Amino acid sequence: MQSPIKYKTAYIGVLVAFSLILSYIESFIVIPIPIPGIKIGLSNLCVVVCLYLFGPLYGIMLSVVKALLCSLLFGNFNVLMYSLMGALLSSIAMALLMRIKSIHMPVVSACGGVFHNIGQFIVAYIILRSKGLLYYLPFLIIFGLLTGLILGIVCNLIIPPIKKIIHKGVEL
Amino acid sequence: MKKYIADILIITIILITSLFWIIYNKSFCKDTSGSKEVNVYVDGDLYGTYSIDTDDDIDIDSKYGHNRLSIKDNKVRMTDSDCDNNSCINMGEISYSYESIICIPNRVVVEISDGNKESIDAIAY
Repeated sequence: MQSPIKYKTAYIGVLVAFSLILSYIESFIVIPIPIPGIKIGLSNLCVVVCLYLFGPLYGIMLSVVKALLCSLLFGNFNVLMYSLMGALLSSIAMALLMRIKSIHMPVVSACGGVFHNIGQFIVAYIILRSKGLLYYLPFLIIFGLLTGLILGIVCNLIIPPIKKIIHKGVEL
Repeated sequence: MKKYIADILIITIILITSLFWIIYNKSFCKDTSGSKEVNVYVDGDLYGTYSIDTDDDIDIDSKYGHNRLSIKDNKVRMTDSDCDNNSCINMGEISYSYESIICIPNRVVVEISDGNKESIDAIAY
């Protein structure tokens, strides 16, 4: 068992702020694939970092808070429904998958990306009730898988140094 | 390599499922000749049905926003929208049955249907 982390709340606050910045940056990135709801999901980085550093409960909470704040700042009520469902489903899926020792961080993150798209699809299907959405879901799943995989590899690289810093308890 | 067997398995399963799904969908989107119809749905309810053979410009107004749909040379495209991401305009033209244009912010779905999708070929007693 590792030593208890000092200033846990402060670190999670920093992660929330960082995820909001990433969401803001992401809103400028236009993906040249014309599929509704396609996104890189950069802020998923913070959720994965939080899951691995502070445990599943904090990770799920961070992703819900992120979805709420992000929709309030950059979107509207419609966006809130989509991102909340996606965030909940993806963070719960990641929290469950990370308990399995033989599944590594990039794949956990990739599954998070996939489940984020599935969550958004469920909300879109409830609102629009269109079979046409089913046509785009596999493209969204593959895209989510790829971006999640890349972000997961990034997480794999950045988590050890962060861990070192926070367990040392750097004076804030 | 053995260390990553579970990872590789999960990724392959997801990829293969999605690829089969895409192929399955593509096989449905055939250019079947005959009278095709353009169905416009707003918020899940039918807004209007138009024939794909007649060139037309359709304004779709609802409480969610405004969209402009154009039917020309048996092809359908969204020409104007007041939504914020304009992905519906960027989706381009559709002309095959079961293809669709979706504008999520304005809750607009445009689908092409076979016209005789619901009809029954024969009933045997």
